[in-house]
Amino acid sequence: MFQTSERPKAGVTLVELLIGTAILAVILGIVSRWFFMQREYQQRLSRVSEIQEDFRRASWNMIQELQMARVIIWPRINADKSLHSDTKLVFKDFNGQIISYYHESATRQIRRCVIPNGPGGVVINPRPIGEGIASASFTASSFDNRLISFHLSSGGVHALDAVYLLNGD
Amino acid sequence: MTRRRGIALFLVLALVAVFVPVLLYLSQTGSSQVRQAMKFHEVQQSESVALSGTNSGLCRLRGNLTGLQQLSNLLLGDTSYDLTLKPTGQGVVLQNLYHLFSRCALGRHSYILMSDAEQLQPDPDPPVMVISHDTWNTVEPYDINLAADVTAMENLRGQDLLGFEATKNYERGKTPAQYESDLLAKQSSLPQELKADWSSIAGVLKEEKLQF
Repeated sequence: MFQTSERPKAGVTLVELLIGTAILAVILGIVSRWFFMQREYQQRLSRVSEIQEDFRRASWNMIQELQMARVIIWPRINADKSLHSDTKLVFKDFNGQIISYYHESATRQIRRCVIPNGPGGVVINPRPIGEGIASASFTASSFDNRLISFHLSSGGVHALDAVYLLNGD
Repeated sequence: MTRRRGIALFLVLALVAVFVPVLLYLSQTGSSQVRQAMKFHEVQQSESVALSGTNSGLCRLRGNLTGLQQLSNLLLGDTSYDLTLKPTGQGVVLQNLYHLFSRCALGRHSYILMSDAEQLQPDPDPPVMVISHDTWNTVEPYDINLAADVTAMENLRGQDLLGFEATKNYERGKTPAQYESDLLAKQSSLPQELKADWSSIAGVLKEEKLQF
């Protein structure tokens, strides 16, 4: 005369627990992957924006002075009419002074110096006119030496701009 | 059976309690990234359009546009900008002086750039020369009330012209050999990046030295 107990078992079985954990792990995996992708995207976006900001600041500084300048001295179109690019630019500004912009690859900066067209020593600006720039090149683009284009690049981001000098000799 | 259902309900509620804040946080993070991207986009676009507006205004001056102008709602692509050309008087050679304002507003970002421009008269063909002076040399937005004094700007222009006279006189007063020699003497104090090509650069300067 045995009597079997029909009472339901309390709690969860190991299998149920494992299934629950597996589902949780899958959901967390998907969500965290999405989260890290978003974070990476945000960092990349910020980085690109910062580089573009650096480019625009450098371009602005250069364009403001260049469009008032009188003549490009260096680089110039080669004798065989091919384009000539260089990491430095030399021109005469509105006052007739000799100005140079040059790229310092070690500091990733574009610097400016004034070479007096007259008595006096060379003055290098204490502050750079462009920062965070991995490479910069200036290209002579016209035979009258009044059109200069410049290419800036950093971290896979590029900027290309050109200036026409408004004033002649 | 009731107890088991209770545990299941508890687990579901616990999961909801954990996931709802997590998802809320993630969605906020996502939307803040979008906001940030939009902000960057607006800052960049408004600034570059205002800058292009300044150049466009200078071109208009070159094209003999004169007088008081309120040129609003001009378009660069889909983005509008406003130009304001404000005459500030006449210079010593009777050239017209202007303040050229270029404004672009996108979202909460507004850029106003000011340029000081001179238009030389009479109107020749091809168009007249325009000289602009970036008075503030800044890309920061500013309040128009902070505009520098007009007299100070005109003095700046005067200084520029006097400086140009001085360099012209210096060049004219030297023989080509003296001029080149003076330039080459400066080689030692040049930055390293310029030294290598300096003799070629001095050669070009000598070739184009102003004569009498």
